[in-house]
Amino acid sequence: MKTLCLKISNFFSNFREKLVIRRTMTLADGTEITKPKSYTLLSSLIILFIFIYFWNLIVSSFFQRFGFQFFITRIPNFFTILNAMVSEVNFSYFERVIDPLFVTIQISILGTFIGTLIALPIAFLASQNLMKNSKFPMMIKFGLSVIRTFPTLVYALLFSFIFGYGTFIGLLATIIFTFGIISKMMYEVIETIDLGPFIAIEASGASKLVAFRTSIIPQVIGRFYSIILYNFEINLRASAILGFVGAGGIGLILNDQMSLKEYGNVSMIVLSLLVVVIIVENISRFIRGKLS
Amino acid sequence: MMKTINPSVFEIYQARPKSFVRNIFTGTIITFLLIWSLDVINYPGITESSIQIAQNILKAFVNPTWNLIFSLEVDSIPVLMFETLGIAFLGTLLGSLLSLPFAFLSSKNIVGNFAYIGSTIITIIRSFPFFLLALMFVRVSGPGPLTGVLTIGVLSIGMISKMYIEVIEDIDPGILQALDASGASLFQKIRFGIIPQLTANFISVMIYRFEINVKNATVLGIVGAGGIGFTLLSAMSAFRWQDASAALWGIIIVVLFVEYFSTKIRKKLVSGE
Repeated sequence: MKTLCLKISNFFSNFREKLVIRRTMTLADGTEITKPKSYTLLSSLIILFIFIYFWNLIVSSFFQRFGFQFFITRIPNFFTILNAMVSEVNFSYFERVIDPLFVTIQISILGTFIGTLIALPIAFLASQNLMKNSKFPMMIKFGLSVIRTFPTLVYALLFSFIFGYGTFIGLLATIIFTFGIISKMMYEVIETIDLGPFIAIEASGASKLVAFRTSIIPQVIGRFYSIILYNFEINLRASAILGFVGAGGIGLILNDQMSLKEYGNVSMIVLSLLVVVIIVENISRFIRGKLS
Repeated sequence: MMKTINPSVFEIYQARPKSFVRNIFTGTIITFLLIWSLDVINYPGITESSIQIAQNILKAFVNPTWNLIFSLEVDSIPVLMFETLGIAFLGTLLGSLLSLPFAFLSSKNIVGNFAYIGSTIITIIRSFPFFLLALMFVRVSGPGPLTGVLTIGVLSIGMISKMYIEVIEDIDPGILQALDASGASLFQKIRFGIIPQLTANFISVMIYRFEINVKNATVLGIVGAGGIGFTLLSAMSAFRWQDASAALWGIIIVVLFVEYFSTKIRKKLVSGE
């Protein structure tokens, strides 16, 4: 049994050795240089294998069931909605869009703000360089990873069973999502800072709190602002999806109009959201430019 | 205290940029926005039944339907998660292929001022609600995982090409000049001057987007585009919390797994080791 295992592992290591390319060259003066290991061949083979597997699982099985012809003939169907959206844009619907749009912006502002407030202390506690010799950061990071595994929609769905429909569940889902993503981005920033000033200020007799306020906060605050703005943008975009579980805002009317097949109204909604996103994007680009 | 400080240091400290007015200004704006947003909290209150449901959810979460997790039958969690992974994988490949022309045609160092046309299209794709896109594709390929692949593929164009553009605009022209000087042909310049500068970062972007797409693919099933989402939604709306929590555990395990390896591989790609 043991020898069999050894043989198998030998076979695989030889196999791996063959797949990992190492080229040796001899220069004119006789020195030999070896190129660093290249895993390109090995990884491309793995990727190819995975690709074939998933292709068979999803694409081939589809064509076997319905035929390629079926797929081709139905491609124009894709453009019927798009065509309806472009040709029947209902600009007068804007009056009905504006209220939900503001609700969406309100949810995003409040969700981002509260999420950030919760994330701030957690981010500092999760930074390995501030919390030396402690298992605490590892645990918090793992917890944050688990929180981040679910998309916003799943949280909204869960809350909708507890609190019923309304903007409140949208707000809760946004807060949790923001919290998960912002704490990660923040501790990544904190872990890159220079601790020298902190030690220096502490050595000159300042308390830990003063040293923290004067040496660590100024290093991270600018990056934090841009993280917060970036998350505000993400939340605005996500709000279009949140409506599908009845979380209020622009997603709600989007869902309604989609199920009513009023594509003129749908395109008006998408257009207004797009305009808001572009405005917010430009404002935050302007602010980020000022900050850096 | 003041006397002990070197006077020039003190003067410099006095002349530091004063941000008092600006802070007050931004503080006022933010406070105003927050107060304005407060009326969005219409707390519905907790009723007896909602507490019951919350308890049921939590109870089911620690005790999911193990049969669903440990079987390999048609609608079991592993099979559905594999389908979800497949949707994300093929979708990411499709998206990154489609992004290549977009990215090259909207990079400032390649097309100059025409770049804004491409970047506008990219912004539109980025903020296109993805359920709407899924509904469009359902009309082509019917409900099923292929719809998911197409949706994820088109949707990924936005972010992937945005990040590709950043990589392309970072190309070091010095290397191309050096290749020029050593008499390289156009093909050689592309092969040895441009491609090596792009591949590592491009692959890193693809892996990063794959990670996001796995999360997106888990909810695609809600509109009938394959993956685990449909099982999750139907279990939840029928109040079968144990089945739902089995699906949630599936998502947690797979996403954590993907995230771990994606971070590892990306670190290796970007920093070399």
